[in-house]
Amino acid sequence: MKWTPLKISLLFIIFLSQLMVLAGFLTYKNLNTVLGSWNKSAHLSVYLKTDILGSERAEIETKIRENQNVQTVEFVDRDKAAKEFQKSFGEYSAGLLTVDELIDLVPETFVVSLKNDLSLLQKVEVFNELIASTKNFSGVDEVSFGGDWLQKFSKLDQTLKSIGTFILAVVLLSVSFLSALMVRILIDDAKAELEVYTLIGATRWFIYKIFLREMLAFVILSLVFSFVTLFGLFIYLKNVFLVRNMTLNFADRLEFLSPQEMIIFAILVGGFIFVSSFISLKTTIQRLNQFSYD
Amino acid sequence: MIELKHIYKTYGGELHSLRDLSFTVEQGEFVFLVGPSGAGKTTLFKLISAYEKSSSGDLVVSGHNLKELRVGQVPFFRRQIGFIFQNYKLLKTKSVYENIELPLVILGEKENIRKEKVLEIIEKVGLQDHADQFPDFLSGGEQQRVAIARALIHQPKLIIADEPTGNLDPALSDSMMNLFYEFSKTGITFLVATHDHRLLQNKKARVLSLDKGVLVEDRIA
Repeated sequence: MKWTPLKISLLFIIFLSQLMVLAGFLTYKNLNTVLGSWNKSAHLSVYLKTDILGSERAEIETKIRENQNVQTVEFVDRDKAAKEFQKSFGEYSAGLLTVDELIDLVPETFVVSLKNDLSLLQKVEVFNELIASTKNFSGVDEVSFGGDWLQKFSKLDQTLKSIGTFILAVVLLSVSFLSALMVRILIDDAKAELEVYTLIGATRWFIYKIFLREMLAFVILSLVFSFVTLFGLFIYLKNVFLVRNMTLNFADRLEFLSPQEMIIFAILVGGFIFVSSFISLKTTIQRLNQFSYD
Repeated sequence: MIELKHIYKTYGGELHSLRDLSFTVEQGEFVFLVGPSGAGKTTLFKLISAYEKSSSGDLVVSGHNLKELRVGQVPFFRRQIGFIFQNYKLLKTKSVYENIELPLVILGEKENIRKEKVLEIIEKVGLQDHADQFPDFLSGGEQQRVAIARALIHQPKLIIADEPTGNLDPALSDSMMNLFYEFSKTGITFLVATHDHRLLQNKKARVLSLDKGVLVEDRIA
């Protein structure tokens, strides 16, 4: 295949288009991962009064477990709570309070986690149900799940996912249109060539083979360039996030596309470009059969 | 080789491009097709090469009744014909060698046989030193030689040449025609459309004159 400026431009545009779609998909995928991990970490804390009886504690636990959306109920005694409290503050707690001093101050807690298949909004609803069902127990001091913040976050989660899906769809459509247009331009540019082939007795399939082989080369090259470039950008950005130690620690959860995702993308996008090339070629050849050979 | 019986070609129901055309061309004949612009020469070539169908009448080319030719059979029919045009119609992205080789590639010939035939014909048309060059780097005469070589490489039964010397100077035109005559001795039928009556001089060839779609003269030059 001889590389003309038009073919190089086509390759570049298809490469950029694929890169945009891939980047959009990768962003969407990691956004879902990060939002999902925050979703998973959402939990309800039932703080117990210091003078709670064992029977009262058991009653509260039973009540919590009655809710079918509850996955786990973990009892955190004072000793464990104190150690965790100190661990959370890390170096800042040195010289402030010892674990023994903390034990008298931190309450016992039930930490309630819900099933993972619930969305954040659904979890907020269930948490509110649990608050309503447990807060009036005499042994309960306070029940909370980071209320307002989680409610706002759950709405943000929904909104981000919806916007992400919409943007991805728009990008995919635009890119598809652009790729099909470029392919059409390339085929039209080869009209003189097609004309000669039909003149000297080439069958349609002979002509299809020549041009589709070229398109296959385009598709493969552009996919390779897209994946390699995206991977390079991904590694660079991940390192940037890690080095800056971004809050919420999501950098280490960022993932590149899995081999299956890459294969599916290659088949879908490559297949689309291939099919649009074939349609363009077929239409052009049909038009040429009616032409004047002057 | 070519047999026309009462051929009419009408466009839009009213415009008669060809009217009641009847003549026969035998295998191996060298025929000039002359006439002013709009006489119907190009239309006739389109019919003979199965680009269009006649409105009425019978047209048989190399044993094929073109009225009955199906779309899928057209490429195979055209392989019996070699085309030469005023504007050469070479593939710019292929070298001289590759352009000439193309009909053999389409026929599925093996590479070693292709090479043998291509080199032989390149020598006959005098392009040995240009085999690896691309058409844009050749002169008009050289490009036309490539077109001639490509038209003849697969030993067609018929050559259709539409103003083959239109872009060449007189000396080159004569040289081209001499090449044609040489190849016609191998039994190939030549049908050459031209405005240049100078080419008819001193040549013993049949001349068909068209005017407004009608055959007005059929003579030996």
